[in-house]
Amino acid sequence: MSPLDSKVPRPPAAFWNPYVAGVALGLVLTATFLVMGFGLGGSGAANRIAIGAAHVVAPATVEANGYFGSFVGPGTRILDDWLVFEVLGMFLGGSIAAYSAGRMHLHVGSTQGIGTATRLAYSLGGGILMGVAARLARGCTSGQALTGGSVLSLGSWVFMFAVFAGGYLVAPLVRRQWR
Amino acid sequence: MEPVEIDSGRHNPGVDPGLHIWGWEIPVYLFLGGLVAGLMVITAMAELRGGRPRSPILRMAPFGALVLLSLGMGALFLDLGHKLYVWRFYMAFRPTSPMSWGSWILVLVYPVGILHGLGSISDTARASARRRLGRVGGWIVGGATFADRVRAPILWLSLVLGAGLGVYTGLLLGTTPARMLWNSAVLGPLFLVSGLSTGAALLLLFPMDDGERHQLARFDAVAILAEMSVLGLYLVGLGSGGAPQRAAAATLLGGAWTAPFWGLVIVLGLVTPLALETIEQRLGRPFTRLAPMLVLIGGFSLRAILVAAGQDTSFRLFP
Amino acid sequence: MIFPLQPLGDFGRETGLVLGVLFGMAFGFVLERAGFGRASNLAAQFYGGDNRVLKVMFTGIATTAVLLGLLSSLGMLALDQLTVPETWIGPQIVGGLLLGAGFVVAGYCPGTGVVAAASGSIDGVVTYFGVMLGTLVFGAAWPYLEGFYGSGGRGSVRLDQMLGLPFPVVALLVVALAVSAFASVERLEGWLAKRRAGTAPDRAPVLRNGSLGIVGLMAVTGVGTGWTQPAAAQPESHAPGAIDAFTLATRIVDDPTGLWLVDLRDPGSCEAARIPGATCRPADDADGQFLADLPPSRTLVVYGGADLVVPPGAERWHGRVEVLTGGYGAFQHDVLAAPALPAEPTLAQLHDWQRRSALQGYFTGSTAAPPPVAVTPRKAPASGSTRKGGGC
Repeated sequence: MSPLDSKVPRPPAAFWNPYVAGVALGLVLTATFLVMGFGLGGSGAANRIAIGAAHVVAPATVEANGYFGSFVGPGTRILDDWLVFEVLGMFLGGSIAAYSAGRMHLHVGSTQGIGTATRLAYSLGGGILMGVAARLARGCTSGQALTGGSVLSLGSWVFMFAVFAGGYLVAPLVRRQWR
Repeated sequence: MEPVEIDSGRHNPGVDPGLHIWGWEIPVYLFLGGLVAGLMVITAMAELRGGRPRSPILRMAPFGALVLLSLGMGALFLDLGHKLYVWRFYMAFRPTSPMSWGSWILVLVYPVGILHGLGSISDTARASARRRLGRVGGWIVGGATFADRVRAPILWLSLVLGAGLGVYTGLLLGTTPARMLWNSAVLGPLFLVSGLSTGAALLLLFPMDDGERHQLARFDAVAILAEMSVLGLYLVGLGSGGAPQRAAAATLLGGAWTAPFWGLVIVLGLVTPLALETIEQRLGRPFTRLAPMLVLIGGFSLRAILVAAGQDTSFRLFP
Repeated sequence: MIFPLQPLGDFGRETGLVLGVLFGMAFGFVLERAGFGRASNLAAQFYGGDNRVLKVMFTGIATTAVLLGLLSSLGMLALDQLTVPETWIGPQIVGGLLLGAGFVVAGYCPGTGVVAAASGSIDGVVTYFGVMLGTLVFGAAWPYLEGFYGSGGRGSVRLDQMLGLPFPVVALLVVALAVSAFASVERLEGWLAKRRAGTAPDRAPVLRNGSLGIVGLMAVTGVGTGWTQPAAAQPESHAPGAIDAFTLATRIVDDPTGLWLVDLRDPGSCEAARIPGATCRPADDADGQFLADLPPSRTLVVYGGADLVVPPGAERWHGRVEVLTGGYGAFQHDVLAAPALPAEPTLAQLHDWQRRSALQGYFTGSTAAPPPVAVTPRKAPASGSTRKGGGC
């Protein structure tokens, strides 16, 4: 054992105060607006990765689809998109933050009430719902609520209130998961 | 105004020869070749400096390197146009041809690697091989005993051949100087340090003695820093060259391959793992396998992007 | 106006993508440190006991809105060049409800799923994978959803435009709304903690008051600045300007990359002859709808055969629009034809003629005629007026 290893690992850092974190979030978003002219997003990359993967598996079906068809075709590179690179950065920045805070380890979170398998099934199901919802609403909590809300887009504020309403409505049904 | 007619022979597909002739096989071969070079140099250097390795993965690494090299040569073989004539590489030796050097290095790596690996087998493993494997076990132990006797020269040979292999993977691209992006002498050292860093990263994915892991992680951090410097030299070298070189550098500095190069190679493959390794050492956070995984992704991306982007650049200014 | 810089238009698309990685890193870092990489923190929002999500998000929105408003008041930001997500009322209500439901079931929204995955959370990975599957489900159901998806569209509508108030004033209202929401949820947290015999989330009043105080102060400054400098707070005028052929020709020579020059005549005549540097419009786009997609970093100059009404596409465009007076005919007449020198030119007329000859030479390919050296004002030049442009 080298002397370095005998060091007791520090406990994980605390989360930031929510208001301070909010201001930091606002600064990042403002900087993005000032430089790029548009804001941040979270689900656009999933959309493109999924369509790209589907296009590899079944090119004809995807190209014939009314919605997917506009994303693929000769001369288009579906992953060559700002949101894809931004989400790659989110992953890297998130991993640096988690690791330096001592929160990086392979795990399945929040399994207390329901067990690992059910938890993963809920994650998948919730993810599918959100995937459909984000396409319908043209963005998710990052791209619509946060970004659009900041530039005072009417639809984004409507969307944000709808998200909270949907969450509060369904919350009692899955209460067991979050005990 | 009279219309102006511009005649160009370029419309004839035979005039500009097919330039995109290298697909996935070459990047895979270059990546695995670099890994093998890294594994050989790292294991030999570690033993020359610090004695026999404690971690099983370090003892198995020379054999692992040979497996990876065989996979890489399989990929290279798939790329060959005339597979039956592969033996012709070995009917001649041209000292001015990196390909000739490379094909001979590849052949020499095998016996050296086997002796390197045999000598690394632990005493307990030798005893159990003799007990369980009968006559084959006897051969293994005999080989290992022989390898022990020539241990120091073998380690040095491993070190030199590994370094040569690493440099050769870079110079291989340089054999086509008409691809301006590859027309740089820095590519050899670049692929060598990248190979050292990916080799260390591959080893770090396995369970390992804590002290050795620390040393290896530090080594990896140094290799990443060296790779950043060499990449800087490479870009400065291209950027300060003639117009075709500058046009080639522009594919990575604002042109078509900028985003993948900076996103995947620099930020994902170098900056982020370096940050994670620094955090580990400074803040004493428990080791994470994410850093070596990112190094491996970055190392492959470097080769894939240079191979693909290089085939987009040439002496011609107006493609 | 300095901002937005818009590198996707200005310094190249690829540079913008690299910046995307960097902004994404900052975004991911903040989200993780805010606690958004843990499903339990996020889902707690919907049970009232810990309203971290609302606090972080609402503070983030208020901060951004206030900063954007302040910068536009100071005349540094062109608000109308920022991309505002379009409003589609029906789909956004239904999508929002569905997304909220998915959020509380999965424990993450799509973006926080990525951050959770980055900290090694397998449920985060599975959630993001689910979002990808959801996209495919949406595509498969497209024939049934298409009608609804396209309903209720109202374009880019901002609350400040709708209410007829300046942006900084609405940003201040957002801050007020946020502060009152925070006061309510903190009271709720305290009450629930007592009822459930647990502990309310840490209050840290200094950090809270400090953060919100700074944001509030900036909001008030933004409103004040906008009020004292009402001109700066006005959005940039969209009334199209007029430009004459000679000025346009000078600008094409001086600053060729500062212009988008678009020929709106039918593509046939455009293909045959157009102002150098001009783009022809697509054959199926008589309204110039493609103009709206040009990056607004340059001045847009459009022209027809003669005088032109600004097409709808250019009206939707965010930058400055100018119409060439007299259209291509005027350009032919004023720039491409050799200028005539009056019989007895004044010095000003002579200089004007020299400039016009030089421009005519530039655009027709003939070298400019040397200025008639022997000429003095009030005396007819020996030659010069008979000179004709060579053409190319």
